[in-house]
Amino acid sequence: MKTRTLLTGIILWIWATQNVLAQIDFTQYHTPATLASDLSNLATTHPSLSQMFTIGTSVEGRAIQGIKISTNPGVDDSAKGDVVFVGLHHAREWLAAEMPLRLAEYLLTNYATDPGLQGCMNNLQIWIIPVLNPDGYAYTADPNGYRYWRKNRRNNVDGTFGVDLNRNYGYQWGLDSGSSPNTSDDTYRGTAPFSEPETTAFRDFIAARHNPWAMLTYHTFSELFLRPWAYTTSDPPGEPTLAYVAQDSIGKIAAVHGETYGENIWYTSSGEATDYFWSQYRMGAFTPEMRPATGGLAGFSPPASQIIPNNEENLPAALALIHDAGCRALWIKDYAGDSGVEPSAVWTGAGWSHAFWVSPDISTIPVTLVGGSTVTLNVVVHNDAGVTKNGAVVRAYYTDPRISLEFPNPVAVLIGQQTVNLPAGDTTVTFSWTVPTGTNIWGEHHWCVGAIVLHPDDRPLTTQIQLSNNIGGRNFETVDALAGDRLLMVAITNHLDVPVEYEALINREKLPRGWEVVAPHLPPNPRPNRKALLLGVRSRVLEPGETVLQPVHLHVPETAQPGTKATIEVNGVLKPLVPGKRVPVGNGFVFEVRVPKCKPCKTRQ
Amino acid sequence: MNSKTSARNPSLRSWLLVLVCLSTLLSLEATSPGQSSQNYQQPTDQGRSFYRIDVEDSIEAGLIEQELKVKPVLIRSRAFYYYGNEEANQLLRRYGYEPVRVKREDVLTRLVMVIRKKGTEEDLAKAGTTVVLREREYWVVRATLKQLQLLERLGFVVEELGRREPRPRQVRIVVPRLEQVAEVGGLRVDIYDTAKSEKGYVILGGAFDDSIDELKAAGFEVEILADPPGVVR
Repeated sequence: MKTRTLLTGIILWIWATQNVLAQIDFTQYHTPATLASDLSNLATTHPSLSQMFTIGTSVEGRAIQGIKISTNPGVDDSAKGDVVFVGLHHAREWLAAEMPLRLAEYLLTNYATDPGLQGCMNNLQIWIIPVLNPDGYAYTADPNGYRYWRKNRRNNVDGTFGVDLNRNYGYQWGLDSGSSPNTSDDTYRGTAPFSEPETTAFRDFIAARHNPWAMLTYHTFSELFLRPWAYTTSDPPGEPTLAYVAQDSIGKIAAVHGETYGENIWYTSSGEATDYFWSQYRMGAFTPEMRPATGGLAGFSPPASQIIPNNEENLPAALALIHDAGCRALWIKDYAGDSGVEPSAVWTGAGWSHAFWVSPDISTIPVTLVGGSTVTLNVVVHNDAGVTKNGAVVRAYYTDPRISLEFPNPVAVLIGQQTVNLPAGDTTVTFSWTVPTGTNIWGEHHWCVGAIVLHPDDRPLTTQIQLSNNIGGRNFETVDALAGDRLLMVAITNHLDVPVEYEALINREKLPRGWEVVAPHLPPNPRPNRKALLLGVRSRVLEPGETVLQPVHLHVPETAQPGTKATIEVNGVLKPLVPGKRVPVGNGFVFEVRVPKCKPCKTRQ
Repeated sequence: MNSKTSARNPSLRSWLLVLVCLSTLLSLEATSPGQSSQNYQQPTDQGRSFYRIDVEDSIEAGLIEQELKVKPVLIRSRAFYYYGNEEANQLLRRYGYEPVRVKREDVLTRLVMVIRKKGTEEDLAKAGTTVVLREREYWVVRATLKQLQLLERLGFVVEELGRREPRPRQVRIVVPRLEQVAEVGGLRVDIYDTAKSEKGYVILGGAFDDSIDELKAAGFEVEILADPPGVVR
């Protein structure tokens, strides 16, 4: 008996010791070597859930490595969302490498025992890159180097070293207000956007993702949770959504050790990572500037005793992002057949795969809208969580349905906002909406209503309808178009801040037999746009803020019966004229067209 | 050791060759103040010509690199500088650009040490250079290649920085208004943190002397703090 007890004790001790040994030691700062080996050990210990990957090499030839966490780590699964955590753009910010390493360890060691985490992680590919700047990191750890080095170790061939990687991204690169042209400065932006292999590798890595939905880029310090834009103090498109996520994350961080992160840094930074990824992909991109709150230069080297509490308080914000990207609880349908899979629509080259601007969850009573009348606007929100979600916020907006549509957008008008408790199942949230009179400012009888549901357990991470379950949109016509008019007009505005190539394509599948609809190509621009020339674009280009009217001609057969209704679906897309992956944005229009009862009708003057 | 001996011993000769190479390399990498070695490296242009075109913004610059494979050496404001040839220039002309040949000596800059043996800062300014750091025995100066040639003609001793990478000074700046924090950042201060105080906003950051000079000229009071461990001036 004694022997058996002793043996059991020994086995338990070995088991316990191994568990302890398997844990990563965060009581001391890692060195570049121990961080790499701990990351690699995680992948070795959890082979069914993780795999090491390399996105490229640094300017001095070091591998930029990460760990992919997914239920099928060996497969790049296009059906899953991609969430990215990256650390250490700036070499001296060592806590910014410890946090993503801790996140990887947490996810891998808790997956098996946490069904909630499992549910969300199963829908995602989580990519964690603790160190984007391995050369700088090595230099800060080298006794012959400099602990407070910030940049990479590019030899600028002018007697200086280093480019600030977080001033080297391609959006708004080169502004003197937020970066330096001087090679010796710590905020030196490089000779050109993406001049550095580290930023190029990261850009290309994100561009290769199927569904880049969210990103956190860890920095220190000042205790801030920053969101785009960094290059200006003006708000970005979708500011309310970004603000909601940031403020909620701040609350989650504060709940752990009481550290209250701020939202503003009070100065601008151009060529910064989150600005690039928000502008390019509308992927929720945030910068936690972690501990300490103050400290001058020494703030970059807080005592090692800060590592664990810093990790502890930042973990819930990271997990919330994973939850929001991977676990659908509250949602609004984008089209009748939407099952909640994202993205709900993709640009196929010949149109959007689904008309995502016809949510059946958004409707009005009465159905027929008359300008100036007050109608009931119903928004159905589905709650799949199985429990009541208290304190959800539902916002409804209307806007001109011009092509670059997102919710919220800078010109959208808030119809109303309600804070509601959403029991499991479907809930209809009702708003009162005074339908705008006449036409929208482009002469159309079209309006689009967008609805967003937000909850601390379920936040939208983008403003694009087709990329988020939390957003639905529906275009409404206030007047049926008459087939006898033979002409419909679609207004397209470029809301982006770069020129775009524009296309309008007709979905002819829903047309009655014999009907023809043509959207003639608009005449080319009077002055060719050089970016369009470089990309070989021959079609019409819209400059930022420019609006054009696209005519849509109807050809109705003589035999069409009076009163016959037809649906004309116009798919619109704007493709930005930018280097790299050109991510299309868009919207569509559905015209209900009726053959007049009198043929020919007298034209009203 | 005489030359005869070395010539007869191939292994010794190899060693000598290695030593000569090493010492040449070391003299390039780690020159120190007081050494009168010649100086600073001219970046090689590998016999290529240097051109400028005007672009609208950095996005257009990115498209030129991506679509036409013309790599920028430097983008500054609307100027896109590159090493080119007639083939590249023809290609660019087809897209409406007007390549202009420029002297790289007028455009590209270097950061060098100018030993404080002769001349004054005023002379350096007159030559059009920028003093980035004032160290005890030397100035760290940013200058175009043409300006460096001028300095040498004026008798300044110009040397490579080598391993003496310039380190910014630690600064503390108090500004009364919040929007001035961004102004300070715009004058190339690497801002570490900003805290609200009774007198306004206290900015702690790093800056070189050229930036500090501009801050002072703009009316900001700049307090220089102690350097961190490991910084030798």
